[in-house]
Amino acid sequence: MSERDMSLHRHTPRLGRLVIYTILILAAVFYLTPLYVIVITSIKSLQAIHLGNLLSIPLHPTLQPWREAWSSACSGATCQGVQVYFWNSVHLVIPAVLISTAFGAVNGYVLTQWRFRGSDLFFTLLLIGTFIPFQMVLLPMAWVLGKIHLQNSIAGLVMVHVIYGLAFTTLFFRNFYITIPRELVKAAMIDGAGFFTIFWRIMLPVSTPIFMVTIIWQFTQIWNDFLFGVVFTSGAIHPITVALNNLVNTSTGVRRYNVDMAAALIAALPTLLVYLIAGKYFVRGLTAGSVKG
Amino acid sequence: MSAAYEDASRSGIGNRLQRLLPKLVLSPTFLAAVFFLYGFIVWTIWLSLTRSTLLPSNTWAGLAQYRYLFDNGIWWTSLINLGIFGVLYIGLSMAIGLFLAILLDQRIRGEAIFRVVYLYPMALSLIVTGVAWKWMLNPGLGVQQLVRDLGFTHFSFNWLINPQMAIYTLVIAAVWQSSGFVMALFLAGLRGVDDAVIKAAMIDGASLPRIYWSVVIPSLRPTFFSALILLTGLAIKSFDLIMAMTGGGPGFATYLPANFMYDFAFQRGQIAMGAASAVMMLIAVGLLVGPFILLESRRKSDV
Amino acid sequence: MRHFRIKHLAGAVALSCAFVAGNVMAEPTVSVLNWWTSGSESKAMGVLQEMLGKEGIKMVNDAVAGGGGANARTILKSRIVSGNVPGAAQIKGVSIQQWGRTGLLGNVNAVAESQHWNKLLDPVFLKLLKYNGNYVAVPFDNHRVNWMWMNPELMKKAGVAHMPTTWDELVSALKKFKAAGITPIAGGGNTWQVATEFGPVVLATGGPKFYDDAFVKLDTKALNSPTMIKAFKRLRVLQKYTDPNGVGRSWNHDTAMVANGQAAMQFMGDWAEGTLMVMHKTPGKDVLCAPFPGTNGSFIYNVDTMVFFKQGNAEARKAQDAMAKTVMSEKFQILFNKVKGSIPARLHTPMSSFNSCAQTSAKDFAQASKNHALVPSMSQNMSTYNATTGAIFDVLGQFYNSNMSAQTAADQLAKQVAVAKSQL
Repeated sequence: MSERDMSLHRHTPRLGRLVIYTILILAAVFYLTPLYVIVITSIKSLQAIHLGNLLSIPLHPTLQPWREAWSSACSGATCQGVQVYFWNSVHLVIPAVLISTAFGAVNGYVLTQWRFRGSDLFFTLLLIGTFIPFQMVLLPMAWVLGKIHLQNSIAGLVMVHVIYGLAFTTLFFRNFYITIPRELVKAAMIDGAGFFTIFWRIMLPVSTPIFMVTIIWQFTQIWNDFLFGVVFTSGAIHPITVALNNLVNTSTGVRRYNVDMAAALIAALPTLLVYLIAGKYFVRGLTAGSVKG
Repeated sequence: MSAAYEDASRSGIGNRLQRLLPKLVLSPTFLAAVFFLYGFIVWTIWLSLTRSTLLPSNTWAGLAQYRYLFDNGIWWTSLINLGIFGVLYIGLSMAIGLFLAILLDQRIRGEAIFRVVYLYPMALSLIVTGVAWKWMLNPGLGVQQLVRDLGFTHFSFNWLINPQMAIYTLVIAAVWQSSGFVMALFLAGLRGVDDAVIKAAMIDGASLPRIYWSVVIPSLRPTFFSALILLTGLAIKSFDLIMAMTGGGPGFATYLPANFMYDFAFQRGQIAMGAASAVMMLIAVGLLVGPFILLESRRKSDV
Repeated sequence: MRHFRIKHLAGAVALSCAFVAGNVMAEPTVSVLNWWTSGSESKAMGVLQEMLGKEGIKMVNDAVAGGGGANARTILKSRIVSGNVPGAAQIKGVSIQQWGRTGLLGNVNAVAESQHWNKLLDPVFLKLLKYNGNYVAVPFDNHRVNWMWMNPELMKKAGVAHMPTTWDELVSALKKFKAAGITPIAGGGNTWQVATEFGPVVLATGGPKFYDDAFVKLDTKALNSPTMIKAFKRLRVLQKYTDPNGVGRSWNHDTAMVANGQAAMQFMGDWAEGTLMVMHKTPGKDVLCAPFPGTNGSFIYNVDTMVFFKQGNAEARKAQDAMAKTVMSEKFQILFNKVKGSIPARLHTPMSSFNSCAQTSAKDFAQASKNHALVPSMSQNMSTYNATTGAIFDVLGQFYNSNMSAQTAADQLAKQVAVAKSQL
């Protein structure tokens, strides 16, 4: 890779590089503006918001909106901030991500290394099925959750997210494992290795990048879900997105943009952190996955 | 019973188990797909043929709901909107994503920083960023006012409140959110392109843009496919975005089928008609994207 | 410190209750599904929670924001399908009858009889609450929709001498505000806000009988009549004087604009008072109120009701009864409605502690009731099923956001309403 970089880019003229950097920086400004607006608004006092404009830097930054959003802002009828709901989301997202990723991994393994008649068709149907609008599965899903007594529980919500995440996790792992030569698996089979041994010894050790990609994707999707959360849980077990929506809509005449924005940032922190910390693995993982797809 | 026989039978069972194992492992997903995807789809089709209002009921109505649906102006508006939004969103996300990826692939200093900056919007829920976008695009509060405050008093940017243009504000916000992610996909794809091919082209004296256009980009086909699938899924489900930014307005100018369905099925108590719209949407998407998926999975398995 | 601990304990109890939902609970509990999440509304629900708590009844306030109740309605349906039926849910107007037919509703007849609801409520409201002769719901408030709010200082500045009482006076006032460089009308442009404006316009243009034919009986001839066309033309006039940047702005910010002198007037129900009070402004003094010009003597009502669902165990039914009883008590009706900006649904409640706008509202209600000039609000889902209201909204939304002619709008209105009716 690096070798190619050297040969390819030595020829880029200097003026060209200036243009490239200008474009990249302008793009960066475009991507960062909304975040900038959210962040500076969250540390302004209400008065400063009314006096200044969207982009003006706060003269007296304050963390009060953050404190309020975390522990005392009213979301619907309860005034305890988003704290409780934040932890609900944590309890929800960890098992849901792990389970759906685990299933995706073995599914991808089967669909590439143990293909059987109809496995491609199955994969195609699995992908098409995910285009069902989620609004439509609400009622039958509610019925199922009621039948198995998981209505209004984190466990039920975990189940829903696992089910509707399977197609995507399977897609990721399938596209990754298809790059691993089947000869490797065949050789291992001749040596007498079984299904799980091969998975464990041959597939898993090289899977770190795609695990990162899948986990990041699933984490983002599940953490940010609103629809399932609002319909399948209530009150104290709402996930944070629902609490945020309630909080933003719990207006008391004067819209407290600073608290709204602080709450929004709190709700976004875990996913932002994941992208910041694991972001480099993301591209790396995708790279590994797309080699000669 | 002889030991040899016992041995053979055990290994027979073992063999069969080994052969069954892959299918066994796949079966939970298979069952989930059969029940929670296709079962629910069948149930939705059934509902669309009934007179269900507040709650599901089994009173047969034939194709009446579909007739109502096709007579409904707002349904057509939302379908057209999905067309405009879908094409622009997917097209622009891919174009911008690919463009940025190619630029970033030129041994850029601080590439990691640029990458994170472009990628982070994907981490945020539109419930979160919708509020900020709504604010920025509001003529009285946001960009328009800002530019006017700078002295350009006749500057006008009021797309958010203009029924003809509001749909494009959704495109801006949605592209902002996803294009960085697509950039990451393409960057990954670029890094995976075989060096030998490129070197050969360079020795032949081909220019850089030409190499990208005729050698590199065509080899990114799988990446285009993954991006298309993921973006289509996101486009269909961009329900939160509309709720957060326009609420479907002004009027019904930014309704998408998902909003139409939610509104009819739950707010208006016309579950059967909501179901009919879901079925139509599924058919439309199936027709548009299905062939791609089928082709692509066939092609891949030939490798 | 002690306070802190109790709060935690309550949280823990709520959490554990949620986890064992469906099991028998120690104290009688009623969960109330609603979309009251604004500051004043949740405060008002807190009052109910506290009053019930004193009687040993636990009320779970299940408030979900969003989409004018769309989310709450979705949740209600999914709860019913999952077998987790709430004790009570916010359902309004004629939809109560629609829900009655599902066979899922319980009743609070015993309480209604012992409290003599038939004497405490206007006959129009009694009809609303009953399905098949049973009391299936309890009313919380009585909102008047045909109000107009105006900033007195801006009136002085623009030379508007008094609150307009006729359409012509209104138009001349609008012109004066505009000439003085003042935004005449604060309006959000959301379709429900447009509909909230349109209801009074229709009432002013055609009178209560016409309004009833059009929005209650859904008579095709009334819907596509010269009167309706005239009403659409008037709506267009109002639109011309409305702040164009309002799209997507919520109603309470419009109210705030009027209170802060950024716009001259707003046409909104008396829930605007709730916002004014949060802003420490006195309705009737800092912001003036008057019936929408031409609707003096009539009253478009909007009653919030909680409907009771059948419950399996006796404890849950006991909690429902206790809730109905408390809600109808004079004390609660006063406390709740003073916060919310409405007037008590319960008749003969002393109004002395209310502001002057609310007092006027109560007087006008009694008068209108005598003169058969009480009409249900179309925009607030009181007069028609949600499907029909939706159809009306569709036409209004299209009219307001395009240059559709009034004639076409009336045509469309009659057509769409007929389609919606045939679907039910």
